[in-house]
Amino acid sequence: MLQNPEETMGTLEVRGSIGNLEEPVGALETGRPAGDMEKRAVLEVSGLTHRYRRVTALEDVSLSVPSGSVYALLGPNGAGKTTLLQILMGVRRPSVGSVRVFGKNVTQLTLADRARIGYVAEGQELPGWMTLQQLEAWLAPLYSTWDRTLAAELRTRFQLDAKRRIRTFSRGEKMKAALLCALAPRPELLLLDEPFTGIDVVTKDELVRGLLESAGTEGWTVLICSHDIAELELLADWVGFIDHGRIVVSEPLDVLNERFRHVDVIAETERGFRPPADWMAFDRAGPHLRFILADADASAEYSIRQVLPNATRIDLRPASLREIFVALAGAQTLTKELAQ
Amino acid sequence: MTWLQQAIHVARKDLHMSGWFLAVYVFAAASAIPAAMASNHAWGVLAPIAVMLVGFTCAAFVVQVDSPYRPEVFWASKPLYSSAVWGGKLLFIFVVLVGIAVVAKAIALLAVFKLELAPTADVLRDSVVAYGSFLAAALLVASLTPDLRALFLVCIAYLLIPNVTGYLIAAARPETAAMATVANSIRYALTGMTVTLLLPALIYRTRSRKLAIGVVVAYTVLMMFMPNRWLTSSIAAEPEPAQLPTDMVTPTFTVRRESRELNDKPGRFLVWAKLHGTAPHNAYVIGSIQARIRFADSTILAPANAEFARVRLLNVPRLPLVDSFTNLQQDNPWVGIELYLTSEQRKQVSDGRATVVVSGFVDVLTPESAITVPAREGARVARNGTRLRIDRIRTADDWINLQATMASVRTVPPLSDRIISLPEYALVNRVLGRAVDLHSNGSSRTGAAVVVSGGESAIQQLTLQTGMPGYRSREDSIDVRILNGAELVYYTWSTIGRIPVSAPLTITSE
Repeated sequence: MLQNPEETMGTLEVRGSIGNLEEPVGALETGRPAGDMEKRAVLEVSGLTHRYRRVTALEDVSLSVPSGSVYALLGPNGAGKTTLLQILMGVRRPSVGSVRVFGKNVTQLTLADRARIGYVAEGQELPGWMTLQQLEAWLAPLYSTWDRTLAAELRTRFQLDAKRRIRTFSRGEKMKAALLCALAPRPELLLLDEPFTGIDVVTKDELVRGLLESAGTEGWTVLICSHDIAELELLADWVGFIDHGRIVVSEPLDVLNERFRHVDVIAETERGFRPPADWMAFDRAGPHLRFILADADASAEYSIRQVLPNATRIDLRPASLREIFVALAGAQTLTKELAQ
Repeated sequence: MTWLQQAIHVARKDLHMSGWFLAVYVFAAASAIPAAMASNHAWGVLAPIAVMLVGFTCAAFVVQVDSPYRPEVFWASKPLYSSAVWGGKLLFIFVVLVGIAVVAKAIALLAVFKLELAPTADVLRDSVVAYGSFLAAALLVASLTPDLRALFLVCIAYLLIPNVTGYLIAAARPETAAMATVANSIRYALTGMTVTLLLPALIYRTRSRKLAIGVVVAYTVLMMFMPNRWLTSSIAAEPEPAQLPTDMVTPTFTVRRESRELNDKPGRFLVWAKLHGTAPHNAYVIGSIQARIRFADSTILAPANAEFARVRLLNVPRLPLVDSFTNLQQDNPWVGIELYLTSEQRKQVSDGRATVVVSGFVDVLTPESAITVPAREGARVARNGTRLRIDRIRTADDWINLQATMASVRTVPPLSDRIISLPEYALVNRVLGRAVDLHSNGSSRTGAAVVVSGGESAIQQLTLQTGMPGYRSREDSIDVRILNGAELVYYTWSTIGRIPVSAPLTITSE
């Protein structure tokens, strides 16, 4: 059973509904709950494997998304993100493994449980023959929590014409309409698969802020997949990295930022210099060397000097999510190549 | 929302969504009403096809929009009972689509055909079942296919594959069944009502197309190889205690002269069989028959040309005349079955070292006086779902010709697959105690369906005359005075039983 949002998010600042988006994004970051796994997990995946005939889309995936957190799932194309979200939503059955949502097996969710989940995915079909107004009217009776005021606010904010048929919407407008339909019932769990596709920068920014606010104030739990790493970095307090169907990393963003360091080094190296295996995303421009170091601790600089004794400068700073993503993706590809 | 509320919610959405489809559908159904009368007009045949095609497409469209297995569909992420989505589709198909068609058909039968309520209700009930099954098939195929293109490809395959498979099975295992039987049993399997209706529910429930396809394949294979007796049932040929013709007695076996002249080549043999002990007032029609030869070395010959049902009328009755109810004619009571043998095989047969077994089944039909109308111009009558009107009567010295129109919802089963059609009309003069069969010619029916399929109904423009139309022989000459005070009687034929027949052949040397 999900805890009362006010209990779960007791230490959080209350910031109003998603429709009230005046505060800057930066101000919200401090209000996000830290990655506290002690909180009850809304989503728990264990040993999940899914195959499409001979292709293994997901392999032994295990992750846990705590209540009230915003979990960003990153991964290259074809990594298995969409399949994972479809299984979490219950629209696809897993081949092997356990998926629990709100503490229940995903296949055993009641209608009331499903009404607590909002799902938006790129490629999700909307009834194009309906106007947005008709769609809202059709959906509203399915949810006891449907908030007409919120729906109207979102419609205004997204600048969507309620009387236009959805098939006449642009790609971005369709995504906004899908988001509206997912958000209007005030879901406790939001599953978003590439929700920013086709959405302009301004709206995207508003949406991120809105999601962030609501996640805080309403106690929503959000699992989001997106290629917009910059947006995710603003949103997420937990990050998972999936590649070739396997979860490589799943931990709080602040821990991740601490663990991964971006390293700038100035040092003369020989032409055939080969960096150590744990220097990820290694790049060299003359004497300037750049790489990402995982599990960097206080001895990291000493270790670098051991390899590059003539280094004139060594700068370590927390790596950005984008840098971590690129480094991990590169490392996975390299690992695969070496394995082959 | 309760389950039912959700189902209605989905059906209402589908009703709204399929606006244009429905408009076309309603137009087609409405235009099929007057088309039913236009017996000489192509639209009379095409309109029911159009209605059914549009209905099929519309049903498939509403199912595919909310596909039971595709993860991208909108409903899948909404708090809807999957079974309620299926229920909504059933509601839409059976209430809206079938409802519109049945209303149109009711209007056609009542207003255009001017038929009585009771037989009309019978036809409508049959239509609900037949057309409902047709649309349920659309529901099933649409549940398994992602779009209309795939749907129509599957439908084409459905039409082709049973025939090809039936042919291959019949070719490989001649003793199994005739190709047509195999093909039909495949179709029977695929359109089984239970599977058709419940399988989409299973897909909506499990969201697994793979599982559903597995069920379809397993069910089809099961039904293909299920013994025929599980699929059909026989009833007694005669309700009254009577000698049932249950044995095929085969008195002779003849080797045709020409086959003996082809010593080194396969020769044609004919097995002649005759049905004995037939009731005089029934018609006997061979549904299927084949002959197999078992040789001394235990090999069995079942020639390919014998696999096909050689449908033939065994016993051609004359219509009951006045009070007596007796066949006056027993035309061609023999049936021939072709066998092709090598000279060695033929020698074994001739030497009595082989046995021939003839087996098959025979349908028994009985005539029933459906309608009687005074034989004069303008006379009309309606009875038991049939309306008959005599438009014109022409006579010559020894010849009578009647032009008539008949609308009926109780037509006989189609006889197109029979070589000889059964007599249906007679002029009966009870005062004179005489009667004469009438041959029908130039009758043109409307399509097999009125608005939609289901329930036999047709309009015929009839030309009835004594003797074969266009050919008058001395035997056909009649005394036209029979016309004074005569009645035109229309008979229907009902199949009252199917008799399995089997007999070993006694071989006699040529």
